[in-house]
Amino acid sequence: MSTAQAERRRIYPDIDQVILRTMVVLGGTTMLVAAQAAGARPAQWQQAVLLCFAVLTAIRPESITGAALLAGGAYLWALTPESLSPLVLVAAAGMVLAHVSALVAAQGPARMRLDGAQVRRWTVRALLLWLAAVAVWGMSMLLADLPERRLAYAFGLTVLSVTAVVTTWLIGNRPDRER
Amino acid sequence: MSGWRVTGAMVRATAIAATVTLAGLVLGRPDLLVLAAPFGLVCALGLAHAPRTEVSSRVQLADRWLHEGQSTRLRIDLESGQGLEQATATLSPPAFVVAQPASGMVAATPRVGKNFSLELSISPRRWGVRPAGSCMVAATSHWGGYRWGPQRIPEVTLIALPETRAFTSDESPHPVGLIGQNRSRRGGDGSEFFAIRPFQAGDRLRRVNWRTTLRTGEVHVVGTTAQEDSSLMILLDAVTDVGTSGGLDGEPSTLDVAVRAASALAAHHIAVGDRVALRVLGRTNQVLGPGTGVRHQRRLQELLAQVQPGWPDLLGSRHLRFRAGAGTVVVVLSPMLTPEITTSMVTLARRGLTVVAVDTLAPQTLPEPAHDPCSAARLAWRMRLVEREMQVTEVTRRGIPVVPWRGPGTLDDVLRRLARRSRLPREVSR
Repeated sequence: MSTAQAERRRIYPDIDQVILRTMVVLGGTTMLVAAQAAGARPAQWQQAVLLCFAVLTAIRPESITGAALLAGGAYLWALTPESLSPLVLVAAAGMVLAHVSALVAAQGPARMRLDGAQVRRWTVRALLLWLAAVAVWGMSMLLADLPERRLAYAFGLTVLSVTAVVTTWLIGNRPDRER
Repeated sequence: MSGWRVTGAMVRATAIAATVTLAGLVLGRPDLLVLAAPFGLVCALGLAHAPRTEVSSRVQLADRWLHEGQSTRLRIDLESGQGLEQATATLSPPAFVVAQPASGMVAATPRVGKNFSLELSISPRRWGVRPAGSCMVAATSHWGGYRWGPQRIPEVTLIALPETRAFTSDESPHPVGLIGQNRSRRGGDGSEFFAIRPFQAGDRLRRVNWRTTLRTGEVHVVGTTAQEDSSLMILLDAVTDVGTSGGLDGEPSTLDVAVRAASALAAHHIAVGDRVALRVLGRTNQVLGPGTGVRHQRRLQELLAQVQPGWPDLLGSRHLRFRAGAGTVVVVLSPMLTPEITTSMVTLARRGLTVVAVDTLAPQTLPEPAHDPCSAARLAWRMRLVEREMQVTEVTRRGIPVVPWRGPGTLDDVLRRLARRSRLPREVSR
């Protein structure tokens, strides 16, 4: 028990929340710039819509606009003529940055002070997720040199199937589902 | 897993991983698989760390009783085995309760093997029984896959005792008890000089005044006054509460002034060994008989914290029974706006009790319409204040002093004059 002085209640987010939510917009912008640098020529309205999605996701990080932002980013990248440009890693970094920033921002109201431990933890995780993209890109580069391209699709389908089986096994083995 | 729901981030990651991978395979674009890979990974990790236990929450206050202006910790304990990665609590404090941090929101990350709790500081800014505020708690599982809540936690109530501002007073008109610190009218074994008088059997030798003894040829001793306790009754007028209370950080209302003054008076008189009684005339009508000691002071402050303004069931000199013993000093804390209260004061004074009125209505306490020249309420307030002036004049004419509350020493001059008056012979009507 101690004596306290009344503090004025804030109605606007603190600087840490502003920076975090700016990261969502920055991630969206990175996707756009990387796609354009790789040769994509999206229409201006497409660029504007993508940036609108980014801003809306920054304001409402839990909303469906987050999925629309990432899907839009992937679509813009699909407009590029060259398929395995190293710039795809920059686009992936932008997508991961937007996703992770929105995820951390959605952990509490906008006026909440950020938890430093969470920010550090998700920074490391974002790097790990991006490294997964790097690994797939490296594997794609190796497979691109193979004479039979169909092998690449077979490999992709195998990876997908294995992921689906492992995920189903993980969900199915949960004790609460056995009850 | 009841209470756990999939987060928006998990839905987003799953949707992107599925659609972009499918598009990559259909279009034959391995670069789209590169974009989908991080989201597939985060989705798989979120599923793998799906929480398996339910979350139970508990809220508790470190101190339920505290004085206004003090602060205490509100702790929210969450128990869910190893399933929690992050938790957030938001508190919506009601009026006159402030939280620290001021946003009322706090987030924390649990450490493995430690109890997980979220802590907020809260401070009541006005006396009274106050809810700590509505609290919502949410928790997230590992890799942000699932969320528990937001769940509303049952409110806890805290009791804010009135602040005890410094108050001192030296005089008491009617010391009547056996022990205490007030100077009595009769001689006794005290420390303050009373008179030099002839020696009586039982007087101590060290009290002999040798100079007078040698001059008169008879043994004389220095007599001292006895020190006794006195009885004080605090009569608190809670019929009306004029003005808008700003809590400790703003302007006080008349009831704020009255309650804080009552608390200060009680604290001072109990500290010097006097017996203090309380009578509240308001909606709650608290009555506390005379008593002394720390426990009595605590009980009195608890009753003060529960005062609510309103018209009492029985207000009139015929119905009111104050049970004030002879020699009791009655201090009335009132804005002097209710004629029934002034009638009661006069009745008490007629019974021979010493009555002092403390005026709790300051000019700046009046509500905004009372100062607005365009408002009809200004005229109403003027008429009411004229009536009040008449009441004050009438009360003063009956020998009841009316003083504004000024904190320490408010009653000193009045009580000194009353003590002097009580030593004079009095005309008694038969």
